[in-house]
Amino acid sequence: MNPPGTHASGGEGEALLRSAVRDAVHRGGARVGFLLDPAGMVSAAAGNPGSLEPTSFVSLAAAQFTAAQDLASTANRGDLTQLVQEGAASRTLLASIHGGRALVLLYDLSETRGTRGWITATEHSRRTTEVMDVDQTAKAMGTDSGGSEPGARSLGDHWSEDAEGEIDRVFGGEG
Amino acid sequence: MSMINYASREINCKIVYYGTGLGGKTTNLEHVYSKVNPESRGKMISLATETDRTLFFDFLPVDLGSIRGFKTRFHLYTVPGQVYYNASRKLILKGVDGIIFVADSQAQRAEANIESMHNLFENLESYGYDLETIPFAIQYNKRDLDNILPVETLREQLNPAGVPDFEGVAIEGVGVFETLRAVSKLVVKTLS
Ligand SMILES: Nc1nc2c(ncn2[C@@H]2O[C@H](COP(=O)(O)OP(=O)(O)O)[C@@H](O)[C@H]2O)c(=O)[nH]1
Ligand SMILES: [Mg+2]
Repeated sequence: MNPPGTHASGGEGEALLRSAVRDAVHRGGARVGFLLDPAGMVSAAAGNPGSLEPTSFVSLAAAQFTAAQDLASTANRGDLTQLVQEGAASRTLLASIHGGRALVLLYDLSETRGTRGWITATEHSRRTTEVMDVDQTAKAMGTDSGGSEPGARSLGDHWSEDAEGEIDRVFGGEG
Repeated sequence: MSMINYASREINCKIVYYGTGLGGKTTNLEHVYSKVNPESRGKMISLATETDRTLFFDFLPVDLGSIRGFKTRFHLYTVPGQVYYNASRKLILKGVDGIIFVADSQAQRAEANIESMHNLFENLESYGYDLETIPFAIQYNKRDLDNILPVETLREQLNPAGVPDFEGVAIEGVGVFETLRAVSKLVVKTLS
């Protein structure tokens, strides 16, 4: 898959990280997994999103994670390293990864059960092997978080003129 | 930074509503949500903390449709106004393409507006972003109230650079789409 926001980033380290994410998804039985760079952009993705909209999912997951980290430090609970949301039919795991990255894994739950809400963890010991493997790979790469260059940014005047027309239509505010 | 994904032919643009708490950011987004064609918009999502239900931020995706073969989408965010949520504000600013600063026109909120504007500049600077190059507009909101400052005063305090600015009464929808259109058009111009 190739979610929006994915950058072509070179380097052996990035290739290693991508395969670590793939492994984490397959071994842990996740539906989908994303590795976010320090800018919150997807630097690696694996699995099958199905009906999931990757851009929204990733934006919200990253923001929720940071919000929870804020809350943890405000409440003096130390650094939050992992956040798990147990829903009725799925589980979302957010983990901080070396170098300011974050790993997001979404699991489908086979049996439906009660929603358990958010579970936060500050100790590294609570992390799963999948998360630790990705973290180890990131550590082995050093602090370099890889190139996260925006793609070529030029679509031409015709494109922006058409886009302005669509903005007038969609944001016309006429209801 | 807008992401042009040539492989999937998608463009995602991120617009952030910034400003002091209770200035009217969420009200702006709610108005957009209520007026945009349901086929163009996704769900409006408001995230709360796990304990006190204080809102962290709101999020609304809006599709512009396919433009010359590129599926184009705007992601609208509001930031939490409270001083202690700065890490959340910073995160939401990551990769921002356009900013709408919602100022509260009430005289007693003057200092809070200025503080929030400083905070915006600081946070952008920490990413190496430059407000002189990022599409930016200001909305002087709550023009319906009695105890408000004249627009000229607000302009002096908040808009020395003379970016596009608008008067708003967000609870009645006044100025909401004008402000959003201005910033959105500046954003798509940066892609041309
Ligand atoms: N009188 C008046 N009240 C407004 C206006 N816009 C927002 N409000 C009110 O101000 C309060 C805070 O607005 P909100 O959108 O939640 O602010 P936020 O913290 O910036 O998201 C709410 O009670 C709104 O109804 C306006 O234009 N005029
Ligand atoms: Mg709000």
